[in-house]
Amino acid sequence: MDATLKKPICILIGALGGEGGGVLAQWIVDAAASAGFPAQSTSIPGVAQRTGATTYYVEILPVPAASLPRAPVLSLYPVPGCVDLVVSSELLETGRMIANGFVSPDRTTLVTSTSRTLTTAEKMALGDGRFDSGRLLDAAHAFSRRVVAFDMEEAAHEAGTAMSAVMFGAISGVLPWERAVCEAVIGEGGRGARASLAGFALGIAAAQGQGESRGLPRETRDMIALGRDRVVEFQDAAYGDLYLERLACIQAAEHASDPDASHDLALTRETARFLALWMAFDDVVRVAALKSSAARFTRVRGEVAQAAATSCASTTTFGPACPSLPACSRRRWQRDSWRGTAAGRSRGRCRSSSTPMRSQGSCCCVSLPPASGCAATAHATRRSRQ
Amino acid sequence: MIEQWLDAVSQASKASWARGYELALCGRLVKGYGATNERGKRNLVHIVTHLATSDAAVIREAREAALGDEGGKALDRALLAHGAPPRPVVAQPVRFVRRTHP
Repeated sequence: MDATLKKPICILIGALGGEGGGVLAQWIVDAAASAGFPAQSTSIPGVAQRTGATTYYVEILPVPAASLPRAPVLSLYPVPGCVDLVVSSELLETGRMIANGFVSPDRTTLVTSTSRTLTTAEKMALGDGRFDSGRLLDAAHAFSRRVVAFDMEEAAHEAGTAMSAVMFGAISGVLPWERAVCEAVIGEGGRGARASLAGFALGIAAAQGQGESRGLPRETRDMIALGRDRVVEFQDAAYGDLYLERLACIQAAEHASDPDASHDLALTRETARFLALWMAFDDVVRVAALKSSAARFTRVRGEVAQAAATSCASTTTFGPACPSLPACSRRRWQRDSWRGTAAGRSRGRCRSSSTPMRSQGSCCCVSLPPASGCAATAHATRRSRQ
Repeated sequence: MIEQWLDAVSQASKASWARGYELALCGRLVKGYGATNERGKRNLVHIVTHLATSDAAVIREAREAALGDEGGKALDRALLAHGAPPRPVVAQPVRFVRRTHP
């Protein structure tokens, strides 16, 4: 293709004061320069929270400048309907961008924070004057080609940096160069570069996490995200991938039978719900993990209003013969319980297979060592095949 | 077993969205742990095996029957009413345990 016919990538950035919108625009231009692409950036001051955020507009021609016969002419202003990427640090400002027509369903990737900074009008209300964030997100999904939405304020806080680094990470997948180019540009910043890089990485991770389930109705998307979190917590990331793979098949089948999504992907949503519960069911390993978690001991101590120095014992009663344990470890546990040898910590009792098995342990130690101990084996064998 | 259920859901939804949806909801039958969990899975597999090509309403009826009573009598009645075989009787192991002294 003739390089002169290639269209520039149009990026519109909206940020509030102090969030580093200018820094972000400069990073993008610097990265474009280091990648050898012509780029241009302008900014229009605004009054965020009253009439609109300060915006920065960047155009990049993704063609090496050296190969062009002459310098390209790039626009100073964004044009409604002709923006490829809109990135905004505040949800209501995102709403304004949509209302102004800069976000279009056929073209625009919208990267937005879900965090809110209340406007003057919202704060002036006598009661609760806050605008419904759900409506803003619905508009974001309805009017864009793709949405990446997450709480950038929290991510920036977590990394100890400004919002700009997180925004840069979140959009880096759309930019026409490698991640390393962005990181090199951030690294030149000197002081604070390390925190910026951490924020950048969080932005990338958040954007990628969302890429998997984009374009779905919100309820279905939320259900899939919750389900994936649950199975990953149960086992590991690969197990989470298996969950998503399985759902992808169901989603494809539902799409075949209901291409207009007239049921809002309810079939996929309900399968996501029950599949997560099934794949991460409360087996004895999980119960042991919950029972021996520090948070539980703290809660129990609080419930019995116990002084910190004294000890208390809790008794956990399992059903007959503890069916979820593999038979071999069950027998060993029963035998060791009687001899009182299992790691010297378990004082379990098992009278017979038809009476409840009880294990007692001090609040301060793991109360079910055999069950916790079999977690590794279970991961490799029984659990992953559930 | 999960795969069997998922396959049934996707096959059924290709024929009829409502049927696939009702089968997807049958995932609710698997819950708890131990005997409850095993029984739930058996009921699910039975419905998936014998009713996967039935009407959505039949699948819904069977599911509600299975959730309705613990012993599964209502489920068996629902299965019979729609021409499916009742669930097979499950062998219950009798365990003899040597009495031990601490």
